[in-house]
Amino acid sequence: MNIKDELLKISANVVIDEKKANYKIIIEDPVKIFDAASSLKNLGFDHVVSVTGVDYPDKVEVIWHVSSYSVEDLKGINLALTLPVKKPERVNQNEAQGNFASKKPPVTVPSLVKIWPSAIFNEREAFEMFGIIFEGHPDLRYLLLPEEFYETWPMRKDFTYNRVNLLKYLRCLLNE
Amino acid sequence: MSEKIFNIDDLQNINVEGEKYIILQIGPSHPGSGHMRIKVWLDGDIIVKVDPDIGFVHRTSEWLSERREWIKAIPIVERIMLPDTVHANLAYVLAVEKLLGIEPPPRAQYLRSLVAEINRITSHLYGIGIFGIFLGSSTVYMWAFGDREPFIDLMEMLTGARITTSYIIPGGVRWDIPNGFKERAETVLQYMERRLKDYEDIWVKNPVVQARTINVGVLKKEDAISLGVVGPNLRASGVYYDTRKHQPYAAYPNLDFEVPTMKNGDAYDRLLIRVEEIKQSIRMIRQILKDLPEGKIIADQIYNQLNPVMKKNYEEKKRVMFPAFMIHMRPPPGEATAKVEAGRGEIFFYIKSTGDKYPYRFRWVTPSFRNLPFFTHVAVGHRLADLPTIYGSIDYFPPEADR
Repeated sequence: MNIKDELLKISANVVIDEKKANYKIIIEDPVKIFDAASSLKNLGFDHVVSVTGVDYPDKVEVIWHVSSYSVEDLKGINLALTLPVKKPERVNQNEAQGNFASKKPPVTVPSLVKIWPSAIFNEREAFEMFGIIFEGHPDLRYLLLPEEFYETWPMRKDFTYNRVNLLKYLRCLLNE
Repeated sequence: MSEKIFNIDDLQNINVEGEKYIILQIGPSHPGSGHMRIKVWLDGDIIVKVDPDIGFVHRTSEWLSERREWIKAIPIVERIMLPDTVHANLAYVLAVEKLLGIEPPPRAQYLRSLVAEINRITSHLYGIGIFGIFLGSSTVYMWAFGDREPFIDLMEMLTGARITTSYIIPGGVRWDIPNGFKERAETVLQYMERRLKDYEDIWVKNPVVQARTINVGVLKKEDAISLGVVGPNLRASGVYYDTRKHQPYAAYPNLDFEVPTMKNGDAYDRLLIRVEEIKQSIRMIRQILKDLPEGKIIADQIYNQLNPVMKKNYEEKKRVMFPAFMIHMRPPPGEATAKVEAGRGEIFFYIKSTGDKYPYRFRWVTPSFRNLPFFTHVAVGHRLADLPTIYGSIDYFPPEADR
């Protein structure tokens, strides 16, 4: 099986670094991601290692790192399924100043938990850290963060930690 | 018992509303080996649904590492994975070396494998000990933690620190092997082989242990694959996968070792496989000490950056001091992934560089985090009294999962 040809059938945008055994598929259209993931699963990539985002000024890149336990040829391959999503514009600037860190609108991508159940906790982590809403995830709740960080998306590059407002917030909690 | 294959829709379909079920909160203060909460829905004493609630010891290691120089991430990742420090250190350094394009010399590769295998034995002994206290056996808990000490002393002799060694740096290792280390190591290995027989007599072949663990917490092969379970837990379910074999690093391509696998995937198999892996690690340490090649312990690219005082120190004491390059390191733009088989399973690193002083994206996934789906699936259908057995058998370490 020539893995490169099989991957090129799924998407034309494939980056391969054979020396480091790193393969990368870039899917531009969120609608096609589900089909691409199904084809990868049929190929033998049966579990997700990590789901994460990479934050850029204008977009968030969602990456599913997948690998294989069942097909002998694929055990040595790390494949990154990449989906760049454009960030939406901020709707209301005034509203954003209320919270202790600026409120940023999340991005929305389809969830791949139905195909790879092993992504379930990984997608929850990517959601709370980067503000990526995985549509179709059965259980999309906050996982690691305490309450005061909800909707602040701390792993984005423009996250600012404002101590004074955090203290105000905590004082409000105490008064309640 | 969980006879049917795991289906993701089951999470939604279980209707846990109403007064039929008791909700039991186990934790967050120390259900065994760290802070996590397990929320359990009970029908009588049969477990209907389990929701692991983690994050009580989240230490923002990714956030911290993205705001520091590259070399300063080593102590951070080590302190997250305290029983597996060497592997966390090694995985990060492998990723950075891929970005820098540095290949360490053979002697350094062997020393990396040596310290990693010593660390694997301490990690498995830690796991066996915690499993012992979960089953109510104080003896094996004391034994395992006591028998960890000789190996930790070996690590101290080699690296200068007991747990957080920071021994592996980009390009090689920091210290060469000291005088008398080989003899000391052989004594410790013989001691451990003797002790393993004791463990089998009093613990592994103990009828009480067998009665409490056989056919408890069965994870079938298909489920282990689809849930993405890692490490000894995966191999106990019969999947032949080991990062040391399939994506070799350090000296593992040159070493002769086997990857033990089991068939049933129950709690007893997960105990047995840790004992088997200790035997394989002992075998590998003997090979490494026998075949250790001569030569430098640091790559030429780093050696050439040392100043005359550091070079003199290197020749006399066989110690690598940090050249200024280390703190001003700016790997060329690009991305790298690295995988390492730690004691508990596979560590994964994804690092992106933009040629800057700090990493642009620092992502790592630890074995305990990937073993989390275990709780949601395996414990369902068992009695509540079996939950400690299942929790203990997967060797879960909360600070490692929370990162």
